[in-house]
Amino acid sequence: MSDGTADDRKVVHIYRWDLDKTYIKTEFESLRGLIRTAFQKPEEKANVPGAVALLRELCRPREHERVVVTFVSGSPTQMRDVLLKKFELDGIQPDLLVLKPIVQNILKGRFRAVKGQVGYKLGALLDARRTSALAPETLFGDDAEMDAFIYSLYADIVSGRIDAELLRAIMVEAEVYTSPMQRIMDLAANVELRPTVGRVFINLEGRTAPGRFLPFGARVVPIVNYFQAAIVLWSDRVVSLDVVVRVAAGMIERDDYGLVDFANSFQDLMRRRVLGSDALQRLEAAAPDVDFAPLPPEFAERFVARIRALAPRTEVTAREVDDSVPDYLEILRSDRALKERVTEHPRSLFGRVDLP
Amino acid sequence: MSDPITIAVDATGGFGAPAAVVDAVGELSCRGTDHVYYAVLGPEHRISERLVRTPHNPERITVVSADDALARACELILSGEADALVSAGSAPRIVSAAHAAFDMLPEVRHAALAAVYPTWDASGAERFSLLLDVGAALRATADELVQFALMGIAYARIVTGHERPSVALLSVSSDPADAPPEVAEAARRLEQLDIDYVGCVEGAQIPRGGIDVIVCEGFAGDVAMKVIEGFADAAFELAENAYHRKFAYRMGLRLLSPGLTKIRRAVDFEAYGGAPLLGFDKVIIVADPKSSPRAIANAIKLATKNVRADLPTHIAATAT
Repeated sequence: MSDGTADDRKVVHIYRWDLDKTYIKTEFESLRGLIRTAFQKPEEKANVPGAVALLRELCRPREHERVVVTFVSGSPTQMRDVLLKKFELDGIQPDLLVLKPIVQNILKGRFRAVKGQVGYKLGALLDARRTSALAPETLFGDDAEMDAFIYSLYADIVSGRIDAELLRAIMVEAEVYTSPMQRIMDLAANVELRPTVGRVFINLEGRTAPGRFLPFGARVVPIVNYFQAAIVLWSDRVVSLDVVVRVAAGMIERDDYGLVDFANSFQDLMRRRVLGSDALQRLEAAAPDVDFAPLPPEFAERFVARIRALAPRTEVTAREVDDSVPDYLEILRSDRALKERVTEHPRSLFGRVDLP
Repeated sequence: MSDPITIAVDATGGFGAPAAVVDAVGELSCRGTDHVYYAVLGPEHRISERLVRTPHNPERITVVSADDALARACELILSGEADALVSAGSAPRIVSAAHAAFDMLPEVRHAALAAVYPTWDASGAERFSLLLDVGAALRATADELVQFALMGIAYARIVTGHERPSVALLSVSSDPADAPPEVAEAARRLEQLDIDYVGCVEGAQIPRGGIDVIVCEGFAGDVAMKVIEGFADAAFELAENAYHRKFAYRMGLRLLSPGLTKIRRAVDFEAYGGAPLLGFDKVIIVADPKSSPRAIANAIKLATKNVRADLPTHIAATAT
C-alpha cells in the first residue's frame, strides 16, 4: 500500500472507489446483515458484478505511466486486514485504503458521525488529493448513502466552484460536527484548484430511480453494472474498447451475464441520454479493429445488431457535462423532506389512520 | 437455474398506461431472481420518461418502440424473442391480435378467458375456482362450451393441483332442461366424458365455491365477474360509510375487522392478476383495463408461471 508518490512513473488517472455496495456486496440495512458482514471471511465477501473485472482492467500494468486506485470506505478501521486480504484474493493492489474510525467516534460520543458520511468522506477525499499527484479522477460510489452528493461536492470544491461560505453552509445543513468541518474548510482552502474530476459513477445497488440523481447533472452517472461504467469511460475516451470487451468477458465468466443484459444496459444509457447516437456509430466503426476473442463466438456482432435494432428512432444527443453547480442545500433539504414523507403510517381496514 | 424467459408487456393497454405498466415492470425487474426479462412495448419516449423516475433494473428491461404495441408484441413472440404477452387493453382487441398472429391449439375453435377467483369450502379453507369464458367472445356453441370445459380442466390442474377438477355449466337451475339449447346440449356431451362433471349450477354457486371450473358463454361470464367485483367494492364502501357515521358501528366493525380484512384480501381481484386467454399456442394474459401497477405485476407473474408450466402444451393434451 502506498500513497501513490513512491512510484516515479507518471500518474495518468486516479480512480477513487467506495467499498461497500460499490465494490463489495454488503447488506447493512438489517442487524443480521451487519453482523454477517462484520464476521465474514475475505473469501466469503462477494463482489458487485463487474467491479473486479473493471478494476483489473483499469490497473493493468503500463510501462511509463500508472493509475492510482484509492478506496475510502465507511467500514470500520478494524476491518483493514480482512479487506486487504480480499483485495489480494481479487488481484487488486490499491494505493490507499481509508477506513472510518467508528469506535473512536463512539468513544467520543459523536454518534451522528457514526452514521454520517459527509464529514468523514469529504475530508478523506480532500486529504487523499493533498497527498497524491494531480491527474484526471473518476469516482465510484453507490446509492446507499450520500456518495453522489459527496463526490459531486468534492468535484466542485477542487474545481474552485464552491466558496468557503457556501461550503460551510452546506456542512451545517449536512449536520457535520465542528472539528471535521473545520478540517474540511482548511483542506478546501489549501487544495490546488483544478477541475480534475470527470465522471462520478453511482452503482444503484438499492435500485434507486436514476432520476433522483438528475439534480447533480450529467457528471453523475447512475449505473447498475460495471459494463455500463466501462462503456461510458470508453465513450469519454478514458479507456479503449478492448477494456470494455474484457470487462464484459469477465462478467460473462464470473457473474453469469449474457447478451440481453449487456444490450439492455446499453439501451438504458441511451434512454437516459448518458450516451448519444454518436456512441453507437463510434462503436460500429471501431468494432472491426477490436479483439473480440475474450467473448463467445459472434457475441459482439449479435450485441451490435441488437443495440442497433433497439436504438431510439430519433437521433439522441448525450447530456453534456457542464460547469453548473448543483444546489447542494436544496438537495439536502429535499432529501430530508422525502425521508420524512416516506415514513410509513399504520393503516386501518378502511385505508385511513385509525382514531386513537 | 431456470431458463431465461421474456414477457412482452403492452404499455399502451389500460387506463393507467403507460405509467401503471412501467411501474409494475420496474418493481418486478428489481426482484430479478428468476431469469425473467421484460419487453415493454409502446411509445418509447413516454416509457423512458417514466422509467427514469421509477426504481427498476434496466438489465431486465428492453423498451421496444411500437406504434401498434399488441401487434409488435405478437411479432416478438412469433420470432421467439418473447414467450408470453400481457396486456391490460380491451379484451376484443387482444383476442383479435392473437387470432391474427397465433395458431389455435388443434381442434380448439374459440379462445376463452379464464378468471381465477377465490372461494371457501365448508370448513372455511380458501380455494381457487375458475370461471370461463369471461369475455373472449359473447356467445358460445355447445361444442365451444365443451372445449372451454376441457381447457378449464387443464388450467385448473395447474392452478389447484387437483388431478380431476370438478366442472359445472352455469345455468338458471340444476335441470339442463331449463337451460338454453346450447347449454343443454353441452351438458349432455359433458356427461359422456370421463371427467368430474357435476351438472348445471346457478349463479349463486360461483362465489360459494366447491366447484373447480364453471363454464359459461363470455357474455354471462363477464357479467358474473363484474357483479362479484362490484358487490365486494360496494359492501366495503357501505361498511366504510357506516364506520365514519356512528360510534356503535365503528366499534362493531372494529370487532369484526380481522374477519373483514380476511374477506377483503380474498375478494381482492388485483391479487390474482389477469385472466389467461386459453386456446392459443402461446401464453396470453389479459389484465383488467383499470388495473393498478400491483394488478399488472400479478398478471405478469401469472404469465411467467404459465410459461414455466408450459400451459399451451397441457391444454392441448387435455382439450384435444
